[in-house]
Amino acid sequence: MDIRIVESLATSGGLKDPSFRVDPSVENISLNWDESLGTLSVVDYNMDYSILPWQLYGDVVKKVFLTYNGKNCSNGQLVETVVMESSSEDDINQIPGFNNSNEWAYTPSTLTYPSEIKEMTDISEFATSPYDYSQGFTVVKQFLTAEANASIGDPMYKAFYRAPHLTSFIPPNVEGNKVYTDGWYTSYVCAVRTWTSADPVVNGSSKGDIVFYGANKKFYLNITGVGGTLITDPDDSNAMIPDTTNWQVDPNFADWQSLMMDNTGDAMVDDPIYFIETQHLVTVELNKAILKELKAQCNACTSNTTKFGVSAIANYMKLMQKRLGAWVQFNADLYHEASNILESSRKLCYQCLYHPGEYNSINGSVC
Amino acid sequence: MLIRFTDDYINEIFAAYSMVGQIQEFISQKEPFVGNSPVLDELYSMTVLMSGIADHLSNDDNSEPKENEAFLMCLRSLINKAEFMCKCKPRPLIDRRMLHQTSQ
Repeated sequence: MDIRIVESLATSGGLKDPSFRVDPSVENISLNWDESLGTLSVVDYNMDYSILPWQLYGDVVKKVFLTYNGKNCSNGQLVETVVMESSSEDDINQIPGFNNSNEWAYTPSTLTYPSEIKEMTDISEFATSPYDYSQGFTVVKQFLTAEANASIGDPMYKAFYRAPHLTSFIPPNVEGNKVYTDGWYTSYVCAVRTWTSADPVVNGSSKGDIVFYGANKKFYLNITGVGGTLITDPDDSNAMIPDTTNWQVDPNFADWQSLMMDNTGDAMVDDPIYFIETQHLVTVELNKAILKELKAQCNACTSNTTKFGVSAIANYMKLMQKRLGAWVQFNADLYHEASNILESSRKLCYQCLYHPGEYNSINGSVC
Repeated sequence: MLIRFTDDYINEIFAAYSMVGQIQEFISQKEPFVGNSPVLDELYSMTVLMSGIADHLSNDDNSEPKENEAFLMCLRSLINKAEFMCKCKPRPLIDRRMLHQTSQ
């Protein structure tokens, strides 16, 4: 299958800098689609973490989120859903070390809902969100535009995030048992330090910092601004853990977003985190639908009596234009509009153009 | 199996694009034709399919060879049919840059 259009654009974060790339002609972080496995994978094979300005290069640990951003057609809201999260504990994809490049897979067909999802149900909440529909795409652009005021030895970044609001809702890429793959995704790849005796976090720790504690291989969130100390693990008298007064184990997506937001401006001190936020456009289902239409026309190629006509290729042309339109808008930083184009083909949004045979819950018809 | 077809089928791809150009030039002199001429309507549709298949074969690197062989057969069929309908001839693959150099 043709997988040309799985576009990526880095939008904010210190790791966005091209100097972190192994190959300067390839994007920092990208998504790979495996047709046989049906998986979307966040890959960072082109990242060189060895130039991180931290003294403990070998102690870098990565935390990765992949979110789906889309309009919930039933209520018109734009929501962001975490569809893939790397393990909160040390595993094969969380091996400490600056030179570990990893691959984190998301399989849409087996989506399990994460606990950290958010929804804005009150229009007043949009006041804190760059997704203000009255402002159109310009506000979306504000959210995604990173301002890099780099000075020698002291990189500073400003970005805009939505204030997380945790509740439950139906993700925009889900309709019944169907999980759509195509759409606008955002990946967050964070590199954090490890808490070791050689690098105690009491030095410069502040509220919201997240560190990886190597002894029990878990992430900890600073909740007071005090570095604290190690205490005996209540569950294991032979083990030590960060004190529970100042540290909270297993930070959630909102905590990670807050840390990124707090460290993208002038207030950033001691480099508590390095991260890269990347926008991705996925059209694998649309590609498949285009090929399907093309094949259908090819069946007619072998017939001497078949007449081609504009009406016969109408669907093919529509799909091609949708892909082109989404691609053009995405590359103009209009991610929201690119997403709208792709989602306009779903049964949830009335048309179900490239999922024929599915039941349309809106008007009760079969596409 | 991962195969990039561009190199293997460069002649067919080039022939398809050259036919698209010639047909579009041909029907450009008959505008407006949609709804007025079934023959031109069909020719136009064939250019869309030819360019679609050529575009796919030019960029695909993830298909089964069998699938793309079927596309190639279709492309050849379309080229032959268009050749008959509009009296066009697919141009041979020539490096135009070399042509310019030798003619100077």
